[in-house]
Amino acid sequence: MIEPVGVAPDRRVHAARARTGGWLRTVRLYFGRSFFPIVTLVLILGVLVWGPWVSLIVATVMWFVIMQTA
Amino acid sequence: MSDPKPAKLEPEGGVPRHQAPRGARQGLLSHPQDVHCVLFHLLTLLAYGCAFWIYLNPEKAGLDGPYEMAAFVMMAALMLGWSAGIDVGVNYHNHAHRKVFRSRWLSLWFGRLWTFSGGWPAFFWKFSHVNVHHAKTLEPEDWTLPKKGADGKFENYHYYSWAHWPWRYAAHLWQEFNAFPQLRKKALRELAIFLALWSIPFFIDPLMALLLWVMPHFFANVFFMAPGMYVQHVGCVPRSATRPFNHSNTFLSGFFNLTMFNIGYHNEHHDYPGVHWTELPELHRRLKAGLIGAGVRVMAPGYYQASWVYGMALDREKADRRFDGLQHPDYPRPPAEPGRVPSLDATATRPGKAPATETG
Repeated sequence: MIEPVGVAPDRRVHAARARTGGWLRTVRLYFGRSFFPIVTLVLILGVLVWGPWVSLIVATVMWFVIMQTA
Repeated sequence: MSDPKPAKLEPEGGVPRHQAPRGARQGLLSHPQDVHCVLFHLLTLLAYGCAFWIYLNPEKAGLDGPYEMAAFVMMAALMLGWSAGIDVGVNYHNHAHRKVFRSRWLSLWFGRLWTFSGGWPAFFWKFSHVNVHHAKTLEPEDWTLPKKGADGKFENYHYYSWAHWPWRYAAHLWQEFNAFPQLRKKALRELAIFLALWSIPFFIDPLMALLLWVMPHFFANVFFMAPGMYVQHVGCVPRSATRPFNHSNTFLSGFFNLTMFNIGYHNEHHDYPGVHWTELPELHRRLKAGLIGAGVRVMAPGYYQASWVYGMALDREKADRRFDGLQHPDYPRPPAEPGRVPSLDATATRPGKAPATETG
């Protein structure tokens, strides 16, 4: 059966809710769905804090790891 | 005589459909989970805005010299291109199939303000995807996919990635739109709206626009959208009477589908494009037996690892074998016939026409 409105009919999400409770599921869902723009924002704004080289290295390593594993 | 409509896999228990609970308040969105689509796009636009601000204010950002600026531009262009590629190729894609907003006007204008950040007029992208790719998947008229050689193989991965946007798309869209005066008129209007929006960064700073606007669009299309198109359908055959289900590859990586709006469930999406993206995992579950029975490629990873296989390969035959090796162990495929690499099956024909050497 498909779940009603407000609950993604995604078995993985349901399993996460059962294990972790509502708020963590919500955080996971919002962070997970918008993972790439959030990381992009953090790395761009992070330049103000830690400089461009750290952001460039993190972005490159992340690209390499994701291309290998996901 | 027209070809008969090809069959598609029937899910056990029917197609999952979103049902609003009785008495639920209807908001702006067509589906409550579409808030993620809107959020994704707004965050992408915000990231562009922040990158522009840092570029225009290097002293405040601590970018002291040309090398630091170059490092920032490289990082920002890569990440903005990555986000924009998903934002158009997957996120707007959902909107092209099922409008995110209940308001038609809002859907139209949000769409226009959606794809311009990936280097596309919304109407052009939707036409290419829905009217060409979905309507004629893998047939000779489907010019959105890589060209096929005489052996049925897709053309070289890198050649396709570099050639398809904007060059090949522009040439084909020009032909398609010029065939019908009404379509041409609409296309010109949409192109004018797109150019007005897309040119804004050039008025702020032309060099910034090239580095942090055009270059991310290039990355989005060449390094993210094109590889996705390639691996979604590589080794597949058009729908035919004998092989109606082997038109797409499905990818099951949890991280990939969580962060990519379930686009990995691609075989399911092509057979049921009206099913909401949140319901594709459930549709996949209901189709599982049929997918195994039909010998569909259901891969364990996502597009990234699959495209890495083709991107890094010097030997095409080896790449095909490595790609087939990514098959999920829960979805065994029948062994290849002697002398035939399974991913290179070019024997299937157009729907309704007898295949030449098909064994079923």
